[in-house]
Parts: sequence; structure tokens; C-alpha cells
Amino acid sequence: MSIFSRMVLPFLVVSGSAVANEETTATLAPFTTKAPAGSTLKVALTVTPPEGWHTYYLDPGEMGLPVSLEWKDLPDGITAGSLAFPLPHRVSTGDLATQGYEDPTHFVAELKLSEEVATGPVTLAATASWLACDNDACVPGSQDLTLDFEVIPAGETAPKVSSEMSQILLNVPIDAGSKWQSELTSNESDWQLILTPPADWTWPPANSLDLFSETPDFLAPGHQPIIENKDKKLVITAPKSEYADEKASPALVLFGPQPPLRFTPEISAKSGE
Amino acid sequence: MRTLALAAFAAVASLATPILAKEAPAFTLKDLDGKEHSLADFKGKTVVLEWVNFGCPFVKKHYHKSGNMPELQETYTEKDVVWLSIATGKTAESISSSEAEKAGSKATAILLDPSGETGKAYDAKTTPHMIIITEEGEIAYDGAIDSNSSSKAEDIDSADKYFADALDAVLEGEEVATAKTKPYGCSVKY
Repeated sequence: MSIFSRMVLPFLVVSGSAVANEETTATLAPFTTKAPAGSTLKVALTVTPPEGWHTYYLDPGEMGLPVSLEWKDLPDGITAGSLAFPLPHRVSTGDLATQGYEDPTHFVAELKLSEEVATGPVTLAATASWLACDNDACVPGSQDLTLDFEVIPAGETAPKVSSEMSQILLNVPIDAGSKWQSELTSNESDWQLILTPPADWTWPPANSLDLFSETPDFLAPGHQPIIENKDKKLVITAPKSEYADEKASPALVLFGPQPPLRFTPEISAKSGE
Repeated sequence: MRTLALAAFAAVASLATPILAKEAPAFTLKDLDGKEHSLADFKGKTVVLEWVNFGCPFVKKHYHKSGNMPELQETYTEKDVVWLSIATGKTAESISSSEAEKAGSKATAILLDPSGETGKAYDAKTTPHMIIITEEGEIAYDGAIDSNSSSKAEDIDSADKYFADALDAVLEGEEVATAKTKPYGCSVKY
């Protein structure tokens, strides 16, 4: 290799990757290619930002917009549920504390099929939207996507979900349910969430747990909460967002368990009162 | 008569104090032509500070895509408001008059804050980030231009006009109903 080509090659590589990395991309895939009428079909939305860029969580932090998915002209008998978000990372955008995803990330959408929905092949259209930022720039993006699957008669068995897709489901939250007790209080600066798990819950190490709020501007972004095991309860202390609504019931997600657990506690009287 | 006088006093008291009631930090910054402007120069006038970066899609939403910001600038500077757009940090090194002209800016001046000192003094987080300073030099509003944090210009009309409502209240001598909101946009590049 000549000196010239040694000098030029790295430049070409950097230049090429910069061009390839300009755009965030998205794909849609059903968890099963067939779904019975009367069931719920889960759909994976995978969003891949360019290297060095990130997209945003439901609570994006001091700035940002969450990834979203909008279905177009859904046929009779099919309704869309909300988009489920996996564990975000605490990333900074410039000097601002934000929460999002630097890597290819699988979000999970739901389509509810009524008992009366027409059977046969279906092609649905949707638009995925996001804001992608690095430390110097932000680019809002969107991509039109299609989803193909077949509605089979009610009562027929859907194909088995692949192990790869099953793993995706283990990463998005479910409602914790009535076996858990949750209590949310606050003082001037912090929220305190006390969770009482069911007796048969397998306790993971406290340092493997994390808490995020799906309600924007509830927790101060960029702060790792303090999570302690006390008397068979999880005591979680996290600083408040300066914009927190002290009256609205938030959706808080405990990450660590698979799947993560969502709590929607009412806010009780202030701690120590 | 006495009751009337008391009522009048109470009304004035409730109008006189902005909720934030924080003294606006002093600054002296050069504009795009190299002319210095100090906040102290505008004592006795209502001053708007607007953090700007014409490359940011959220700034473009309110300039290039809608003309919303230039319209607000025109409306309020005609009412004797001083409107200072501020480019902080790396943006101060790249912003130009031609960029401002292309965006349709009708600000009183576009000021350069390359050190970020003024941005940090006001805790400017995003572009745009709006501050309203009263004739008395107090911060009456700090936050977003409106309630819809999307980057789409078509969302402007249906948004709550936090900033314009606050500025109208200040000019009318009324209390600002929502004095602090979360600004949205691109991060200020300190």
C-alpha cells in the first residue's frame, strides 16, 4: 500500500460512514404472521439511530420528543393500543439531561382484533416519528411503514412466537397488577415510592433495579434513584422534576424484573406529615 | 369611600408583582454588527430575550415554516417592546446576518454570547427559550413559546400561547397567569 492510499483510506471510511449515518431508520414486524379474530396482535417497531445519535423515551427529560407510531385508516374491527417503551438510558443532549436510546431499539405496539373482524390477509399502514439528536444537532424524522399479517378465524391457534420476539416482550412494561401495593409520597425535593411485592416475588439485587416515569416531567432527569430493600419492601427515592404536577397520578416503571412493572400510584400526603 | 380605597390598593398590589419576581441578570453583549447592547440600556422598557439557533428544527418551526416568531417580533416591537434574540456558545460563532434575514427575523437585535455567560445566568436551556423582563427589570416569564413541543408548524395554532399571553399580561399591567413553563427545542450549545 502506498503512503498516499494509507492517508486517503481512513478519510474515505469516515466520510462513507458519515453519509450512511445521516438517517434514523424504522421497521415494523408482527410477533406472529397469523392472529385469530378476538385476539391482540403485538407488533415490534424497531428504530435505529445513526451512530452517535439518540432517540427519546416517553419522558424525554429536559428536551426531546418520544418515538411515536400512528396507524392510518385502520379497517373496521382493528384498534390500536399504546406503544410500549423498553428501558431508556440516561444520555445528555448538549448540556441537557435527557433519556433515550442510542442503539437499535424494539418498541412494542398492540393491535386489538375484534371477534367480528374480517378474516384473511391484511396490510396496514403506519407512520413512525422521532426526534434524533447528537450533541450538535437535532433532526425530526418519520418513516411510512407497512405491516402484513393474516387474520384467522376466532378460536384457531396463532403460530408460536419466536424466542427472539419473546425476548423483546420481556423488555417492555406490563401493569404490576393488584398483587403489588404501591404508595407515593413527597417532600420538598424528592418523591418516595414504596412498593410491597407479593410474597412469592423473587427479589433481584437492588442495584439491578431502576425507575423511570412514563409521565413526562415527573422525575428529575439524569438522576439515578436510590433503591433500597427495607422490611420486604422496595423504598425508592428520586428527585422531583422542577415541572412536576403534584396532583396527577404518574405511570412509574420499575425496570429490572422481566417484564418491567408499571405502577400508577395516587400521590399521598407529604412524607413526614 | 374607605372601602373603595382599600379595594383599589388591593388590586394594585396583586398586579404589581410578577410571580417569578426575580431580578434579571445584567449583561452586555455585541450584536451581529459589533455594536454593544446592555440590559441596563433598556430600563423602563419591557424586554424579551429569545434564545435562537436558526439551524434548529424547532426554531425553524417558528421562523421559516410559519413566520410565527417574526410576526410576534413585529407585533410587540411596535408596542415598544425590546426584542433581543441571543445566540449562545457555538451558535454565536456560526450565526450570520444572512441567516437571520432568511429566517425573516424582525428582532430589535441579535446578540452574541459566545462564552455562554449570559445563557447560563438565565439558565437558557433550549432554542427557542423565552424570557420576559418587566420595565422594573424583573423576570415575569421564563419558558416555552407555547404548549405544543412538536417540531411541526401546523401545531402552532392549536397550542396554548404561554409566551404571548404572558407578554400581553405584562403590557396590560396584569398578573402573569403562567409564569414558568418547560422550554422546548434543541439544547443550547454551551
